[in-house]
Amino acid sequence: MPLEKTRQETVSLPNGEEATAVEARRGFLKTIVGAAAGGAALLSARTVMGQQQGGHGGMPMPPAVPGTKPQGGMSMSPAPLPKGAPPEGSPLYKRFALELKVIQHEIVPGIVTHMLGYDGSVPGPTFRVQEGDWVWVDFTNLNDEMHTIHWHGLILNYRMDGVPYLTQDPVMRGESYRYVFRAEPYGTHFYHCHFGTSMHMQAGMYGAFIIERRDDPVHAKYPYTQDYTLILSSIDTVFVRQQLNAMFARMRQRDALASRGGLDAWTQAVFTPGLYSGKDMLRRAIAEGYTPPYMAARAAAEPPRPNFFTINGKAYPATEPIRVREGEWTRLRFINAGNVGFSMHLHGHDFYWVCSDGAPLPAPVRLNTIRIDPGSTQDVVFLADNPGLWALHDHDVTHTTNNGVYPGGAMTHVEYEGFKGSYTPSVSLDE
Amino acid sequence: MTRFTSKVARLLASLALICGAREVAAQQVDPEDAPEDPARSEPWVEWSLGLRGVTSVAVAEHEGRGSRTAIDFSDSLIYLRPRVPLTVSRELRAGAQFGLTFPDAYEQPGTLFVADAHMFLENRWLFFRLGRGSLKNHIVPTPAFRDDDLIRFAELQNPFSDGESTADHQYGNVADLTIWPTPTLYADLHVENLSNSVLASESLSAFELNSLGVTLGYRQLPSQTTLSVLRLLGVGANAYHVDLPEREWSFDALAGSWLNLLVDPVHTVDWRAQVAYAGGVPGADPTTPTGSFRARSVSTFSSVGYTYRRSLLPTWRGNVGGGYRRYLEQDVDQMSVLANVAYALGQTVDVGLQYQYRQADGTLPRIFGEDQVHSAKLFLVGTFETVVNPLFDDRASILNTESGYLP
Repeated sequence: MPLEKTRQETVSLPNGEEATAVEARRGFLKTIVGAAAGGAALLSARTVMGQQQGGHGGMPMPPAVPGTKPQGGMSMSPAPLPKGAPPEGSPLYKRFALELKVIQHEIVPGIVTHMLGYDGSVPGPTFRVQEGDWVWVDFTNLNDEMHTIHWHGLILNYRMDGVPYLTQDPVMRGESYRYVFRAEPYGTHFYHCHFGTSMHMQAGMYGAFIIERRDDPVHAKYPYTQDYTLILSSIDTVFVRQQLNAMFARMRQRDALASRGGLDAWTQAVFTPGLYSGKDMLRRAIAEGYTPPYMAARAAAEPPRPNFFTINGKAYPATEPIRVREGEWTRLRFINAGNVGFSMHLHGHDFYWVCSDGAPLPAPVRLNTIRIDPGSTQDVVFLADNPGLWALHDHDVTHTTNNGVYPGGAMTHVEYEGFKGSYTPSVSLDE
Repeated sequence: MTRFTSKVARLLASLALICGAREVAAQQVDPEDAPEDPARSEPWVEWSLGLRGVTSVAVAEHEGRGSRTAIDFSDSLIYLRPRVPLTVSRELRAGAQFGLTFPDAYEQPGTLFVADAHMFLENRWLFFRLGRGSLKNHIVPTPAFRDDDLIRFAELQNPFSDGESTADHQYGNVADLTIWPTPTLYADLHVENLSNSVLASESLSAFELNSLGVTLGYRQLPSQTTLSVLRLLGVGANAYHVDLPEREWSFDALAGSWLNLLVDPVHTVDWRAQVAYAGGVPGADPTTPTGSFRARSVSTFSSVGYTYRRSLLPTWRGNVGGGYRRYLEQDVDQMSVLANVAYALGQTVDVGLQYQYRQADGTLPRIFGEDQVHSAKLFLVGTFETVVNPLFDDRASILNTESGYLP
């Protein structure tokens, strides 16, 4: 998958108005956005991928367990529309559909593993919307595990935040859930699953969510012509494989139980927090003999130890290069969707750190290495003023390995368009 | 299963040094001229290390000898199972299994027996093993605590055995090819060198492929066994080169099934049944041990079990079953009924109680503990396995069977 890079092009719409066409990977976010009459932000929005709406996959309702709400996911009634949201059928929404399924993903040639792909890709498709847009996402789960989508960094109604058992029931196999929110604040954000987060994010359930502003403060100061999103992640392929198999097996048993109304309070004791008196319930269950899944007598996995480190789902040498033009500015949006920190270092250039977690910095900071902690996003811009081929990599060099073997991992390079260098390798060893 | 740990890595490294692993590897090529291949200096090996403990205290009433008590550790097993990816094909991998066990208590208690010492090759479609290993002598496993409690009824008998050990009927030197055209259907072709006494030392001069057979079957995926009616179904047939004046070859056939009568992941009721016909050797005398293995007979076993998994964790299970064998030429028979219950102390540790009643025609030999009329045994059993550096997914895993196989 090439690095996600977008160019905005102004096109004429049939009604004579101007619009901005934004095309992202795999045809997912093919939306036509324009200046609407009457000053509204959106002229029209269409979802290219038609998805089956709603439905609960025929999943029967289990009986409520005393002291708990009904078992997660069975009642996929939608959350109320947030305050101020347009009515359901309004054309003011930018509508999207996301499906989740198990895929085979090649991290690097020779290493193919089962992962969870939003719309069949790792990372998932990039959202790119304007600040203030109303966004409608229909998320459909096509595998046995439970999932949600958390819109990381967005300020939205809590029912759209995607935290299982806290803001919504998890989305079970065959079910759909709608997320409706206003795109704010400006900046580089991302989305990810918030169920089984440690494993599901490693397994590929993440993607970029870019909120643009017409008066982009970064562009105003650094008129960049290239805009790259680099989602950093790490994966323990063994952990993901074992946990996916185990979770799928358990979920099938739970599905079978649910269909008979056989789920008991113990299976829900861990994950019903706060409002639902979960802690008391958990203590009671343990006192009665229940063994939670995190205790040694049940724990089937040690914490993950990543063996691959990726940029947009690929490890070096399968990563895509950053292509720049001499004399022009380039923006790099780093998103850490993994569970280790990255210290991305660019050779031959300094860059300016301009945004952190989406928010513009009061004063840009000149650096050549930037730390991106798990869950954070950092934007930098640099001027392509030193033609050549330049490495861009994590300077925690244990992350520039594949299965512990260097080179690999979170590494790519910057290429100048049309550059012809004086060096070509005279020998290349398998080392 | 647990993951690779530095402690285990150090342990394995120490073991490798102690055992001289590098020297052994070099001898495969030429001990005097083994090229040093730095790329293989740290071979990537998956190790399964396991120990199964089967211990019991028993009270048994023996024919003519009154009641006796015993503490029994037989069937306990320790094993190693390394696997490695191969360079010749990414689809293929190789492994070995080495296992030591104690044969059944009434034979040679304390004798350590090599139950497994074989190499194997495997991919998505096939599994081939060569060496010492378990015999394909049954379709359906019994729910008894010990592997020999119903051996007369549930496992084919080795017509070469001298009757000293149940291990003669359970282990042999095998070449075995299992083909899986689908994740659940299999065909198994096997040839064996069966021994008259597998506990005795053997020499290659006595080695003869004297048995061959085929098994066709269906086996539900491990993750689905509580979710479907059919767990196991199979038929098989074997031929033995007995090379006797009366008959050069003897034959047997068997069929079995294992069904869930109540399909429920918490409350499971299952039913097992198997029937086998042994053509035998005409005139074989079932009053002697070897003759009883060669006599024409029909044997069957069946059981009904209930398993309770509180919150989907194994909690307790109980089984009631029995077996029957009839020697057709002599019109004599033997039978046994058995009931047991096991309570899970942990995910892999059970405490259990088993009662068994045996009855046999007075002319039949009292081997394999068959002089016990009534027995009650209190068991403590456990399986402890660690997979170090787990390189491979299972062929029949959910991911491999439903989302495309990955080697």
